[in-house]
Amino acid sequence: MKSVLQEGALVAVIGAALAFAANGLSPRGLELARNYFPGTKLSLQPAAGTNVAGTAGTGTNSPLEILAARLREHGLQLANSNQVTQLFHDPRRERDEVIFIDARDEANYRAGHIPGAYLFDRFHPENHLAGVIAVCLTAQQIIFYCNGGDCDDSEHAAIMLRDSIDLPQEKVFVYGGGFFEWITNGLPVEIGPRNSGQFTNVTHTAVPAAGEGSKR
Amino acid sequence: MSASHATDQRKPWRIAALLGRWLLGGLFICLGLINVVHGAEFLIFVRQQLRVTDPVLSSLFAQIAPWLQVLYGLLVLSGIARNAAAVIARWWLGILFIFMGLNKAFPHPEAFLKLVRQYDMVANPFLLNAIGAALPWFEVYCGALLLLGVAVRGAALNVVAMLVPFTLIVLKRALAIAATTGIPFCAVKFDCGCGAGEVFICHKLVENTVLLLLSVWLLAGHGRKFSLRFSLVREKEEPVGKVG
Repeated sequence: MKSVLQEGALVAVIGAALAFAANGLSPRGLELARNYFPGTKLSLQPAAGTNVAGTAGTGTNSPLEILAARLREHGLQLANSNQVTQLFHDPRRERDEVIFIDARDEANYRAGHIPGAYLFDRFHPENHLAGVIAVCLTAQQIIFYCNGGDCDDSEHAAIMLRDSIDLPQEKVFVYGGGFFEWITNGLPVEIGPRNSGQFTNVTHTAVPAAGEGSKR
Repeated sequence: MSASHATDQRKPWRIAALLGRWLLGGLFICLGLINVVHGAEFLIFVRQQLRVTDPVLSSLFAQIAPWLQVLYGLLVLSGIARNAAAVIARWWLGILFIFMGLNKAFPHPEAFLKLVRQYDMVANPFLLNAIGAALPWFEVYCGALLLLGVAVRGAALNVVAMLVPFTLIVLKRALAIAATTGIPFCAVKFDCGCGAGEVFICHKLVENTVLLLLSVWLLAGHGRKFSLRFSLVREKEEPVGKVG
């Protein structure tokens, strides 16, 4: 018994060292010192991708009201579907005075995004910061979005960018319904890189929506 | 007299081992038959999660694998070829942990980090990142040790040490979701961060029980054949290799 415990401890120590080394060497490794979830604290809610997403909870507030309250707490504004559609058709968008920022990863972005949106994968900001910072500084309104539902990448991306370049709070919006609401509303979707000129009406994304994916 | 005393002392262990073997065999048969009955869903799982994209290969795999599970369950249940069954258990557990670990570490470790965060276990960002960064690779490492047969009992002990708390927190979360939404417990489906995408909670609990029993089996000293170095630390007493 003692020998098993000794061996277990040995395996654990060597394993932990190797695991951190592997993470350090991996091109997709996580940075230990970085706060990937600035500003917010999550409570036990049904996760993204559950079969219960969208189900009414026992509380009196709707998910959108809860989200709006949480965003307010962090100095962010919630943009609803109508506001986002208006901003999308706003002529200032052509001059990059109104900009959309897609806070999902590159695979999802390329599979389809709001036309003209800038990609900002907050887990790999080094790839996007240079381009995004410049337009954020000159834009009058910035709308962050991710998939919607329980996805909170837009919120964290907004906090990260706002705090790193001191953006005025009134400029920053988070589109609560996100990309899934956008495609559900039948709005145009651009595929490939930004301003590729390729559009699609297909409501398909690289990552399955809440409740989709493996049926196992 | 002393020999019969020793036999008496080992009797509860023998009974526990026998019950464990029956439970393990039964659960394997159960899992295999579930996959046979829900063949279409298992095929989706093979294609999406195991990433067997070739239609012929995936169909073949989806048709054969459940029956192999049933066959293996019968083998364990009957106690026939116990040593071979233990070696298969070691290989299977090893491959599974390597696969699950790599699934978390690549291509999006941040997706796993988000799932870990949803359990609300740690508030400290550094600790959260440490779990998200090291855990997948630690699983790969334990899987490799089991597959190769190096420090098998130590690796199995670590697997048990991971499985027990993980299963408990997954159970806790599923109970919370069921209580919040009012849907039946077994209908709760979510991505638990286990590396296999969305799962029904009852299926996940059965799977984890199987993994736990397999690990305990190896921990008891079985599956020595084809091991590179079964023990790193010198053992003083005889292994309980013949029990169970």
